Amino acid sequence: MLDVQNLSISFSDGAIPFSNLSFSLKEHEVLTVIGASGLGKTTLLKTLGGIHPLKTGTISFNREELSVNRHRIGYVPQGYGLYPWHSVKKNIEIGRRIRKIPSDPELFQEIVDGFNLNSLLERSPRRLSGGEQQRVALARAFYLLPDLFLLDEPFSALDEITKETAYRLFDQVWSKTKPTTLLVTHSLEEAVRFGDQILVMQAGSCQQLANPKVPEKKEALLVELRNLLINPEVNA
Amino acid sequence: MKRHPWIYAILVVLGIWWLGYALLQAPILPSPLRVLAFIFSKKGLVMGTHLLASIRRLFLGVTSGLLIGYPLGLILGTYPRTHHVLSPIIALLYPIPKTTFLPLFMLAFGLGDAPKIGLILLIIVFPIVIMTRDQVMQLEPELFTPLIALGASESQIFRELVIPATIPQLLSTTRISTATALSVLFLAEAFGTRSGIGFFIMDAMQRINYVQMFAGILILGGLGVLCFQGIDWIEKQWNRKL
Repeated sequence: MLDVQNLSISFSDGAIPFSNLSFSLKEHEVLTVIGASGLGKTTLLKTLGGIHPLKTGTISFNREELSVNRHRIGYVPQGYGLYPWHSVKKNIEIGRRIRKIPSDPELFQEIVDGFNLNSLLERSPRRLSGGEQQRVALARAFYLLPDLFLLDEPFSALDEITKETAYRLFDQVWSKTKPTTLLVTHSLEEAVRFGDQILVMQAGSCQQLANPKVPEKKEALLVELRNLLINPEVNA
Repeated sequence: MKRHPWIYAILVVLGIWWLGYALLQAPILPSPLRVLAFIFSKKGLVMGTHLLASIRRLFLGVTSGLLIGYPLGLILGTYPRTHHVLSPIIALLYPIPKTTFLPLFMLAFGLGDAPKIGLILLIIVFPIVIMTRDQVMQLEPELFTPLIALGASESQIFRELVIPATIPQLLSTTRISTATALSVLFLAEAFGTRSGIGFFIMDAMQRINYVQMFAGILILGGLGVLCFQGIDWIEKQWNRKL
């Protein structure tokens, strides 16, 4: 279980967009994080991923302090962060190479098949489309079998048709390995589609909503989210 | 032209040279045919030892410049503290014309290879440091995030990201540095030595043997072209991966 208590998010210029942020997430669940720009959603992910220093608050995973050395964290940044000097195959393998985890050819093939990457393995990421790059970045993080999977708007740069395929592939591969996941998004649709829990960040406060993931309650949840995001002061 | 650009370029240059020779008809510009005949004659073999001496100095100068400059540039680009401490000193020393140090180097290191290699090193090390540092500082922060989240050590970040990302810039810098080193080499070999193509050219000039002087210039030019071709080949091999 991921447990975040009294976390204060601070930008590199010292500004604190958020303080005393607390939320929790059960293992093998997805928490989607939604909110207006500039509230520190990416900084929250970076703090969890050990990229941004933790100044106040605690972050624990299965009752241990979350640490990049102790836990496997798969991080997919907004621009995907692929390395053009490595082939797609080597990009996918990088997590295991860094963590000195033996390769798992069966899992590798399963993930490569899942994301339709078979014909791209020897290519440089530079020669891939945006949608292909996104699939490689996800495959790289999945192949690590991460304890915690951090995704920063992974679908935002995709067009509508590619996005639908990407959603389906993500769902398929995620359900095989089920890593505990934090997914930052600007899309209400994505927040409701993927999140077992939804963290709504507003200026100075946040709300964690449970998503029953049943079709008949989807519309009501979307309305609630819309109200929270558009008229935060009314719902405060 | 398209199939054999090198043959085309050589023929054009030799043609212009021959035209100049035919119009000028002065000993200062000998016929290119006479110069080529000297290079490929038995007498031309004397240039072999001079060429080897020049290649040795060029190789050691450029290699030592890269071995010192590249890691220093990586460190300055990666660690802000070293950047703040060392970059102002580099910015101060970089514009000083280093060739003025040649007499000092000769006094300090004698007349052997050391002052020549030292001068090449001193001249090329600054651009290598600065260009490598700037390249590292321009790397997108999001390239680092997946590695940091993976718990990568500093050496792993250098191996997986910083070094491969700076290789294309390093190759470009090496090309520019080699061109600079060749010019410096000529100057360094013109004083206090009896070996090297630079010495050979200056010696031929003083003996008023313009055929040999031009032969030396051609050989030095050919060495430069070969160096550039070698770097281009390495660059192509690297770019084929991308």
